[in-house]
Amino acid sequence: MLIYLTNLNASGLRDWVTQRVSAVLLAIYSFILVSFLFTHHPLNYHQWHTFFMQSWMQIFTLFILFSLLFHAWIGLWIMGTDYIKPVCIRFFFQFFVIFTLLTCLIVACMIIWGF
Amino acid sequence: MRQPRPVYLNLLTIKLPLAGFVSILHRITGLILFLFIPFALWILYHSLHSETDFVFLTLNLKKPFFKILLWIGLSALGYHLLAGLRHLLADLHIGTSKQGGTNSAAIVLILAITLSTLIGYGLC
Repeated sequence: MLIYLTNLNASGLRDWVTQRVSAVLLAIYSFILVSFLFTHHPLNYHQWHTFFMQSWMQIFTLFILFSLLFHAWIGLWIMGTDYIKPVCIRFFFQFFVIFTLLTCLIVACMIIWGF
Repeated sequence: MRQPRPVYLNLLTIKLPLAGFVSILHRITGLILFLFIPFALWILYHSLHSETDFVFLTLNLKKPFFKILLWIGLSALGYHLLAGLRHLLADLHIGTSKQGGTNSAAIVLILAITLSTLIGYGLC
């Protein structure tokens, strides 16, 4: 029972697709950030702030935060079920992962939309 | 009478193939990246909060401790991205033969080591 409680995934195929779609989005986002840093080399606060406060960037970043949440959750869920055999420890591991990821999501939303 | 089958599982004597090594490292870097999310958020927070915080951050990131942290995080990201790309290519049935898997694993390792070196050079 405890195992199924933390099995939010329900469908392996959906996990598979989610993992790949989020991976592509994260790769594109990383590429955009790296290109920005390279093209604005001695970076100052105003350039950086303006870049992040554009509407498209705010929305894209929010998508990325959700992608990261799902991507990390699926990856760590797989690792948890592969390597942690005692159900009790696995349950706490998975709870810890979800709790951490959700906290990070909320904090990141406050950073992106708050300033 | 049936003889019990010998159980022999000394992990130290099993040689992991190159593709297996790349795969396990993909998982390890994934875990590292998960642990680095708070650090990334700390950077994001200070870089966007105010100009004073931005300067505070740039001064802090010049310290060796943070440079090493940054190098570990960025190297893990680069590796995870490259190894992930290899997975996506395998999904498109590219490099799925036994030799192809070994070759792509070698390419990922070489590119990742090069990238880590460049990141380290850039951070110095």
